[in-house]
Amino acid sequence: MLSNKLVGFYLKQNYILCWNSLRPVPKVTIDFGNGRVLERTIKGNTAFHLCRADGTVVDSFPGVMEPEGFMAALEASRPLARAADEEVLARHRIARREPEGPKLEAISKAVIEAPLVRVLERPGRSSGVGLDGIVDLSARPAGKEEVESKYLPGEGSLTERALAADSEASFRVLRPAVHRLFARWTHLPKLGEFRGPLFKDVLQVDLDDPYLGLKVEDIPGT
Amino acid sequence: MVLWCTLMGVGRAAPGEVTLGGAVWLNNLEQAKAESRDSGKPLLVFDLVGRLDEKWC
Repeated sequence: MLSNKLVGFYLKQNYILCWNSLRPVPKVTIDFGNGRVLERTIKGNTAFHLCRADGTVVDSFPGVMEPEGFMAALEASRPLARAADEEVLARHRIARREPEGPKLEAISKAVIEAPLVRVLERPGRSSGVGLDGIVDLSARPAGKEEVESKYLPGEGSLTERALAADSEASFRVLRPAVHRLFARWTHLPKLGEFRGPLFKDVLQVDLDDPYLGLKVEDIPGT
Repeated sequence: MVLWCTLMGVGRAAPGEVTLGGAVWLNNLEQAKAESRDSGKPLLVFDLVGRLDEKWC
């Protein structure tokens, strides 16, 4: 999405942009021994935070979004950077409704990662269900065909269907979860205060766990 | 890496900075805060597991 020139133009005109690596992304490598190596990332995740110049977070946009929806949502929130704290918190409290339908997210990631998780699966792993009952499909072991048939029916390429499904989930499931997260606070959080709860409770990425939930315990012989 | 960046339209402006879709992404929060103060534009911070200046992000 960020390579999209329309998105780039909109962002350049209206924001000061800063990226931050929270930690290296884990990689799964399969060396076939014949010079061929298959490498995939796992547990990658992203979020955009709209902030004031002092690093106070006024809104956040986690997950995958299609360009048009992302720009529209960001533009709707841009005035919050100049609004009073009480007004920003009130807006989040009003918007914190529970989504209708299943609270699934990370559908495109599930196409790639669910089969890897199935290979890595060990007893006691995370169920992929976070606070508020949001289900991270990519954390649940499954085959690619199973993910496609259950969650990505319809026409178009797999990439298009997955992106559309993720974008829908980001707005229907993750955005209300962001509003509920803000509603926990009596003040607007700074970036350092906001990141941990957002990634752990909304995206189910525990940044304090060096294994990101992929290692539960050492079993002799495994 | 260079080929991937070229194909994806990723340009490198300075160490840590990444140009995507014609927009420059800083990699220094304090610098970004100062620019935000000076310009009056809000900050947009992109947090990611991985790196924006690498293929794996």
